[in-house]
Amino acid sequence: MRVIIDRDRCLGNGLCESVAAPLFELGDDDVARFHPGEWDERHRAALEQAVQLCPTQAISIRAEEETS
Amino acid sequence: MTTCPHYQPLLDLEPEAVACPYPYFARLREESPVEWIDALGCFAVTRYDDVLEVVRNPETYSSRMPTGPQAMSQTMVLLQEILMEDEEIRELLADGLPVGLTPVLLNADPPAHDRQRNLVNRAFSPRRVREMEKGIRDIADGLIDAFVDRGECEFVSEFAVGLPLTVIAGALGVPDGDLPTFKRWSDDFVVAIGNHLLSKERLASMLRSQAEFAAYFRSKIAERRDDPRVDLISDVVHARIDGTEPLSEQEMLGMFSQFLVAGNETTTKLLASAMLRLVGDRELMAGVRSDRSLIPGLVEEALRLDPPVQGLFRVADRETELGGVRIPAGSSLWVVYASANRDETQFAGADTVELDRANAKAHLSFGQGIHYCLGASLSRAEGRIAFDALFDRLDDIELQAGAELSYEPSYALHGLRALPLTFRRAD
Repeated sequence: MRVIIDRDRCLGNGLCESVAAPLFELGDDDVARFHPGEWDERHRAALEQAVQLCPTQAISIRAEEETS
Repeated sequence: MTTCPHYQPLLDLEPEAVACPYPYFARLREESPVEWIDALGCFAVTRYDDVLEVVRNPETYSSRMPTGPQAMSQTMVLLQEILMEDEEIRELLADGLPVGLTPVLLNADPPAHDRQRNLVNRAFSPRRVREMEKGIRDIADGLIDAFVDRGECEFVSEFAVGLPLTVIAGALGVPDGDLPTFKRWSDDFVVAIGNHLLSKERLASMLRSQAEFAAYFRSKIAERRDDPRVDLISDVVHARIDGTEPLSEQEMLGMFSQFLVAGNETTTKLLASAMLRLVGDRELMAGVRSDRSLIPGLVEEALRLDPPVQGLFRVADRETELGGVRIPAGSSLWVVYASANRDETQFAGADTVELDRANAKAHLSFGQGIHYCLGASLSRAEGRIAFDALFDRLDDIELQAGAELSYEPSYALHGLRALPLTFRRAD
């Protein structure tokens, strides 16, 4: 699974950070970042909420491509 | 269509309907979620999913008349009369478009909106707001100092008005001595955005205030160009993104005027509605007082249940379809956030306060989409800090016996006019 943040859409309002820290954090440039190292299946609901709440739908989840 | 639809009392701004419009919205959601309302010249959009669809599609639904066609045409008719009668105002307007009419942020569409918004996002980021927190607490304490020994206060005029006003004045570099003038401007500007009953006198007053405001901030903009500081004006004046044209002076003035209006009455009404919830429910008051980590949840539920901005407007720029209803090009829509927030398909037990609601922040009181409230972080911080301060300094906060509560007669802004309280100074 990959979590992608569209920098052009991100408004830097921090809703993702407020519902799904430590997965999301606003950087010094006030753009959101996803921390894959913090991912754990128990954060699934929080992740989905962050995706839904983001006002500009800047967060998307992609299934990892299989590599052979 | 009936000649007297069930929501007529709300359209007539009857006090009980204005105090609690929610049953009317519930019936609309159930029976006619996209309903043409003749009296407003708009389709009322009341379901959560439909509201989201409108605000997430700015290329279809324009924000150029955010306060609706009625407010716009009312303003234009009176403006024309004033221009014919009042030479002083004609001369003021010769200097340029009143700041309130410049298309910027709230009343702008992409691409202009996106350029403007990208340049100022950082000015209200969570980080900037964290830097402001101590100052906000000091302001709250200063306001409480004035009544803490009296055992009673009028919460709206003595606290809820002063907090956001002083915070935004400070951010805009307005010195304390100029606060009364700043407040007068704020009250006058609301006339244009707040859907209040408009008269020639109030509109003329607003135009004069806008001219004064513009002159005042033109000189502040010039000051900060040469002498940048850490404040909101400097952030806006010096905002730069590679490859993007910086803000024009007219855009900056329009923004400052919107920060002033958007950040004032709204937060005032949030503070008052949250306090009303507390004094109306002893258990809630006791629970939140004893566990301050519940304050953000209370603030969020107050936002959801009593949005200060009940709804805003959009114009369909092309023919489209919404909730199965055909929307002709050029139609206005009243996007009722307050109704979406009570939609049971989204919020179980939608009419009650639940401090640990899992999707508490999914309410639409700050909007959604590209126009999502720029001041949301600041507003939430003001709410949290205000109640922390009030609980620190006051015990036994209660509604004054026999207090009569009344609401602003408006569709756009919803809130108490006054909230008389009694309390004991905390030891």
